[in-house]
Amino acid sequence: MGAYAIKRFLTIVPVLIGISLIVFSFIHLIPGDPAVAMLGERATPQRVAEVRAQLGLDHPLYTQYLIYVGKILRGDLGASILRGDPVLRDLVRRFPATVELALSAILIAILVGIPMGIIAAVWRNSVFDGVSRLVALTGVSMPIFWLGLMLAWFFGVVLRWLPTGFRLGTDVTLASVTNFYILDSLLTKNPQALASSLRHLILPAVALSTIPMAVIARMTRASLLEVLSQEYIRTAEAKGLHQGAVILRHAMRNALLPVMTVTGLQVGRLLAGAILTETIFSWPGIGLWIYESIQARDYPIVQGATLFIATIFVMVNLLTDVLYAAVDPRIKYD
Amino acid sequence: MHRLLANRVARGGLAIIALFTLMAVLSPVFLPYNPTVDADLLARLKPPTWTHPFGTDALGRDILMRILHGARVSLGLGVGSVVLAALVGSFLGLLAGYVGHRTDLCLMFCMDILLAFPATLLAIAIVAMIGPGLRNSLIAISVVSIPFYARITRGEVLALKEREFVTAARGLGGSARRILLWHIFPNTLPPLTVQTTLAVAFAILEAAALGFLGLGAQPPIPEWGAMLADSYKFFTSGAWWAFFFPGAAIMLSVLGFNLVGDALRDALDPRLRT
Repeated sequence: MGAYAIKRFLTIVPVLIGISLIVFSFIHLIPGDPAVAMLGERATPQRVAEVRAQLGLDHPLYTQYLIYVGKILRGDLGASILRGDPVLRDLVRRFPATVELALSAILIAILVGIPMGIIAAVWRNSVFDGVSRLVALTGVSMPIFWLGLMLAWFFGVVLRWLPTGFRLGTDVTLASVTNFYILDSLLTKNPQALASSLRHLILPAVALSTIPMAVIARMTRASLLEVLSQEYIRTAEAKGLHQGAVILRHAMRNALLPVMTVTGLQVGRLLAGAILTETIFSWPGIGLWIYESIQARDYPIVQGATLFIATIFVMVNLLTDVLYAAVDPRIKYD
Repeated sequence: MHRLLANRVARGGLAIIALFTLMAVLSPVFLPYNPTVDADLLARLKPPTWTHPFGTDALGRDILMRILHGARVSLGLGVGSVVLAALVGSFLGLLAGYVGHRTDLCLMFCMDILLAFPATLLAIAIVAMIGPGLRNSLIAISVVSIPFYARITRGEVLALKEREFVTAARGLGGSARRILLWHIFPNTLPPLTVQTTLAVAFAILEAAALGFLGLGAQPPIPEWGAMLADSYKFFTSGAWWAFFFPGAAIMLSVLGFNLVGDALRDALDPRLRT
């Protein structure tokens, strides 16, 4: 298991180098002079020269890449063109908001998706199975930003039950400890902030959870059906165990392994999907920041945030693989 | 095909695709529309009526008309990017699988790097850099879809090139190009069909997302994602029709391709029939 984890970890080194190459090349995809594209046509030649120097554009290409990687390794992801703030500092400050949203979404997806998949598999080809299949397919077919808008309109504007933007009500104050608002509310024993942050979290989290929920439900169904056709399940049934015990104690243990993998994959995708959800709900995380930076042509932020999310995506996938190997001893690296 | 048509779900999906294809093809013929002279500021954000069945948007434009004409743009973008990705991806897959060795290693490493990014994020970042617009979003969506085709085709080629009919063709003196194009490539098509149907669904969603972020079709081109972007700021004023109908069009068309893709997968892979 330890050897597998180390070998698997080593495989991500070339992948990370490849990611850095692609993200590095982003700045060279900009048509014309990137510095002029960022500053606009009316920028003074002096300011253009400054930005070119800041981006390292006056060096040969390979030197530019080496400087770029050197900076990354020192934790320098560049600085915002508009404000001059270091990208990494703002990323770290905004990351908790995105993680809070993504984790809540995945929690909802698991809590609804797995039971839905189990029921669909147990009563396969029933009306529930058909409906759950249609719901799952509709879930993956729905643009999440559209669902977010509909939820915000219905629950926020028509019913006025839930807030439609931001992380906390304007009338609530919360001392920032970790920047995870739910955790901070608990740490500072602030029930008012806890209630407000939970209320603000519901709509964006539900909107973001639809695709992983659909994927998890379908995977649970398919995987459970495969396990249920195996001999050891027949043995368990022959022993006289009732269906609930067979499914929950015997079948689910094995059926959940592939579910765990797709869930891991979805966590990474949620970080990217958050760009759309955060834009709708003015959720001050990395997604909204990327959107605003694209509008403002602040390319170092787009570049830095893309590198950051892609690295997290690779790490989450690695973690999922290693966890998979930990729970399933048959997995070996070859 | 017969098995596919016997499936009720697939028939529903095919009907949806047919409906949207007809919309895309017939709207420009029977309902000429010029998006540049369409604004009617006196009729801004009017709810659905007989004259405007889907209501009007913030510039007083008829939403139904824009959805009908948007079908050509949104479906065109979805299908176009998939065709481009399928051509480039399967060519790379054929090359990697057949030539093997370093070519295979090199190409698949590049594909793995592209797969290491969340697809939506990569597409957004590419368009953010090369500039917004229909052509650039088509390129970005294609780039993120290429690795799937390359991987599937390569896998198929690796399995097929050991088969007897390929050995026979080689024994008869067939050139590598002939064997690839006439013997191997046609046999990689069934799994690619499933991938293509599902990829169109994904591409329409991606195109809508890019349009929504202001990176796809530029105003006043009627594109469903961009229509949502134009109208979403008005949701607090209760103008639900301005965003409901364009979003429903995206969802229905994507659902159509997903239903057919799902049924095709079941029909082509008997192991999955549960």
